[in-house]
Amino acid sequence: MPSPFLVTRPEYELVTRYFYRWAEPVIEEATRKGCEIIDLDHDKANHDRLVGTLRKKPTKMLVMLNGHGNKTTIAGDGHKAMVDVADADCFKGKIVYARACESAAELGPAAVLKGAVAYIGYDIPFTFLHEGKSATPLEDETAALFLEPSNAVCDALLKGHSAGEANARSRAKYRHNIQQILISDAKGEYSYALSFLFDDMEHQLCLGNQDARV
Amino acid sequence: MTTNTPMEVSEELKQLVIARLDMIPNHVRVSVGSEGDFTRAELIARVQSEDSVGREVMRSQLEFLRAMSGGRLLDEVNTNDA
Repeated sequence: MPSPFLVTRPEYELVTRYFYRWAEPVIEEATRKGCEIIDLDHDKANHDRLVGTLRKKPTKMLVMLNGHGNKTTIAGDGHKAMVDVADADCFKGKIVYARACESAAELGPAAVLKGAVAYIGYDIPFTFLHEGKSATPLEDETAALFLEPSNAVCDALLKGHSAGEANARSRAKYRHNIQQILISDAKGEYSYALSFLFDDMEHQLCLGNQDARV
Repeated sequence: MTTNTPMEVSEELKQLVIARLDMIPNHVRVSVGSEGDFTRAELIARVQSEDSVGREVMRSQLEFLRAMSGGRLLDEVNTNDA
């Protein structure tokens, strides 16, 4: 029986619109795998819904958090705090991927301390480049350089890979894009993206049990 | 959301970072954490003013430059994930 997949997807400005749409392929993959999908989108991406749902479901599950954040907090709808270190116990038993800024610096470690099985996230502001395609974010090839490797974390977990392997596979996709930009004529035009790709890759961390699987 | 650590960077290094940022095309935006989206010109202005966004961008650019000069980037390019 596949584990449930919970995703938070606020959509109230351009970045969250990108994350909202780019989470769709992951949701589709989870659906194909037969997972129960808990999609906390738009105004459902709030503290009470997220923390309440997680605490009511003590079972193992994959949690994907999309949004803005800082070291201690991830935001939901309307840029309001959705989860912070005081709520870290809600991740007990879960494998978490946070596509948000800096949460692996403090929220992630707090979550692991309180029983999260694994927490994958960034200890720096997550930076990505895009072309402002607010109507069609999935067609943005510049954003894809960053968001396809980001999606690879949950894709790998859904395929049964461990947290450590999922992180490595995601970093490998960043690395592949960097390699392509450096050596390929087709991707050479994206050389301006190199440093930003490298930074996200280097600062994507897997905390907790590297061997954990959903 | 961005670094508040004072960073002492020479003017020469700052200009090197700005030269790198100058490669960003006009139609591309850089989303820096929760700080917002920036054009090339806006990002360069932030670096010149050394505000929190500017310092964060400087940090990432300098890490990349160190990775290049120290061979770390070459190691990554030569890594075969197959």
